[in-house]
Amino acid sequence: MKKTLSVLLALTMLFALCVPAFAANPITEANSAPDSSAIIKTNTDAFVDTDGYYSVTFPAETSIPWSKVDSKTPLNCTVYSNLMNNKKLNITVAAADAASVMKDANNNKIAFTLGGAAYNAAASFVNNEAWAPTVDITAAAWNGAPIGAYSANLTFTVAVA
Amino acid sequence: MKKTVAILMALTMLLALCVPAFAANPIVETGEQNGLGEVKVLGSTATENYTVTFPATTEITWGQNAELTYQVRCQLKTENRLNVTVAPVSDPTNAKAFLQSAENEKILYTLGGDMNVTTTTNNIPADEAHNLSVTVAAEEWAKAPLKDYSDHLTFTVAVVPAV
Repeated sequence: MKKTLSVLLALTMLFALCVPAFAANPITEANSAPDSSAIIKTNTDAFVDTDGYYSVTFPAETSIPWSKVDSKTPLNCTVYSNLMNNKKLNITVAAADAASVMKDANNNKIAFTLGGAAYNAAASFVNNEAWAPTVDITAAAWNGAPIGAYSANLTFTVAVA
Repeated sequence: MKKTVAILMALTMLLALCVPAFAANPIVETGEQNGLGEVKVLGSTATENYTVTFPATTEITWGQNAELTYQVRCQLKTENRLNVTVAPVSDPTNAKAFLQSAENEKILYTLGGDMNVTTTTNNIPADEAHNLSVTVAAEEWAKAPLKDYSDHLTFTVAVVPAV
């Protein structure tokens, strides 16, 4: 029995030595799925430090027709803001001269006030919204000044809050 | 008897060690002096293969256009070519494709470039580059609230007969 078993085991080992001869080239995987998708997305990193961007357009010069009665002359401005993190735009306009007067070459003065001088955006994104503060001059101020060319400067201040 | 059997078994094992050597192609013409053999390449049973590589994500800087490049490589049968088409998921016709935010705001864009490519040959062993462009009009940027928008592009690859 032992001899028979040992002969059989030896034969098995002999046959096993032949196995490598039958190794063939493996069949490689052909093609992957024929459909796939890629993502395209916006990048707003450039605005991380500034919370976005905005522009306020106001007239460089506004002519006010001479009047004998109260007048309100609009300053036609346009507001655009595109802000992140729920920030909103606030704009104020004020006379550069604290006295709020227009002066002529002879230092004659016409007092004025600014109506609607503050703008507070309702949303972070404002798409070219019109804003029109007014230069208000009373009849008394008109009639108390010699007819001539008067002028004053206004300062627009923009803040993101 | 035992010794004889042992010697015979040992000889048999030694002879069996030689078997793998006969796995090579035999010499067909026994009468030839140079011993040349014939090798056949069975192209009919070879597997066609191709690789199209494209970026998983492309970022578009706010206010600007963007470009992306995909690569094509293939090994096909002589009578075949590789066709690659790219289309926006938001609008496969590319007439009004859009980037969309989480709040469903949209930015229209146009996909351009190599959106429908058929290779001119069946065998492209090295990556062949193709360019795509994402164009957004200035007015589209201006009217879109500043936030994240995205869309998907579908790449479809097919093996087609050469024309």
